[in-house]
Amino acid sequence: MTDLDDTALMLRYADGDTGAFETLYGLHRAPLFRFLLRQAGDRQMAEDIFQEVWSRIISNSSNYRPTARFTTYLYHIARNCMIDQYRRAATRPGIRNAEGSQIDQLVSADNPVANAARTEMLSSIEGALLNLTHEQREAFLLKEEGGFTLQEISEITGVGRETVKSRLRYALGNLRKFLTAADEVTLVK
Amino acid sequence: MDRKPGKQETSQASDAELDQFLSGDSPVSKAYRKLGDEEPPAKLDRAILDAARNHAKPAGQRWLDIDLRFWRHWSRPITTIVIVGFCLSVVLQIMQTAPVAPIEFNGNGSVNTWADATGPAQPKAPTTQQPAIARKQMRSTAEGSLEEITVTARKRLETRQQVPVAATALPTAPPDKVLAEADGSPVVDEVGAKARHVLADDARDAWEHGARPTAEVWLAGINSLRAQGELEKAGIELDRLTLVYPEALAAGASSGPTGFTAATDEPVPRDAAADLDSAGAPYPSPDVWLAGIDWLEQQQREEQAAVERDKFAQIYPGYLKQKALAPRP
Repeated sequence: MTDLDDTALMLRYADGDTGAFETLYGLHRAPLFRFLLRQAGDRQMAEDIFQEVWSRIISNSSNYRPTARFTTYLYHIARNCMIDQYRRAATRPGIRNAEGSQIDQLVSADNPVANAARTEMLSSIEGALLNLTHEQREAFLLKEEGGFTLQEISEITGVGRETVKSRLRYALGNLRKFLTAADEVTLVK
Repeated sequence: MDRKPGKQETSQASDAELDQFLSGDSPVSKAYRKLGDEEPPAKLDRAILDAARNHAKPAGQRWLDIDLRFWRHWSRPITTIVIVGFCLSVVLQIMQTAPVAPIEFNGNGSVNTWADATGPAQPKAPTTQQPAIARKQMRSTAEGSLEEITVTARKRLETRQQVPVAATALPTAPPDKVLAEADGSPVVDEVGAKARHVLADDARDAWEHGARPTAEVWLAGINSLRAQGELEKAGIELDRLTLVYPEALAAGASSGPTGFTAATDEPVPRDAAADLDSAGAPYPSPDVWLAGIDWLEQQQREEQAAVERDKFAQIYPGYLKQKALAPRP
């Protein structure tokens, strides 16, 4: 399904064709949900945001203008909803704090319980994702789940193209580091 | 170099690694794709699809949305423009319907107007306006037709002799000098101020934009009056002529406002120019002007006659028609 089709489906829905919306929703529901889930790091929050995103799509359907790709439009709304949700919850996703990541704290810990937790977290790329900064994780997920180019990520996040590249480099570097550590842990076990 | 414990270590991927990631072949991407394919719960799907169905409008109602969007977007600018336009029209209407100042002559020969008493809210008469108009007219015609038909105005004003006015030689002074002297003429100032208030707006505008008889035509009309024995009216017309074409007053400007007549019994048609106060206003009476036009036609100068008729129609719109409809004696 090309993005031209997405736009046509959205316009058809704006004209009252609910079948077009069902098709559109079926195409984008899973990637969008994963993006939100892994970005928020909390299933309940992800579901709330997911519903909010589609509610906005539905309510603004009559104002929809195909000035950009539909997916760009969709993820832009998703990002805004997430920011709103953060503001409401006054929390940031992830497990960072001022002293550094929880994983780093676990690395420095010297007790069996901490080591077990470290092993479990490092063995999962999901945990590695949560160790990224919000911006790095966002850029990574937009590429992985949305399939966006650097330029499109730049448009969605409202930062320059070079900034997106820099975030992706850090995200990849950190993920690689955690994956390597996970491999070492597996070998030790 | 020791690492600080608790501090996140950051490392950047190389350009090659980034390119690999962007192309989808990165090991990190592959590891990420091994994660489970989480999906939204079914109840969430149902809720969203129900909301979409409830929100969908029957096809054909979209034009209403477009109109509403248009109105939402442009309502403020349109409302502002309408309000401003309405206020402007009201102000202009008020300005146009302001009462015309009545004119009174006091004992010393100057003009008192209601406008003078009420201050600048009423149109103020620029006393040098009439000479300025005359100067403009002079510059365009002084080298031409006026050179051929200069009147013996000074003699006429001083002696009121009842002889036919004749075209004679050019004024002795050059046009600029004549006009400079005319600017200071109290007669011109006084009558100009008076006429400023008595002329209907449209006719005044037309007059000030050059819709006036040439001195030659005017003189021809005056001569026609004289030939009919209407000497008093001819004298009044000559006074008006000399106000509009002040070169006739040039030599006699120092003699003061003589010969000005403040009343005439000529009928004024009830048309757009009916507000013309023919008493003292420096406009030719319609009969005199028409007589001048007839004279042009007799001279077989049809083109000039047509021009004069156009100007006449601007100052006295409807006069010819009214005259044609009037019962003949």
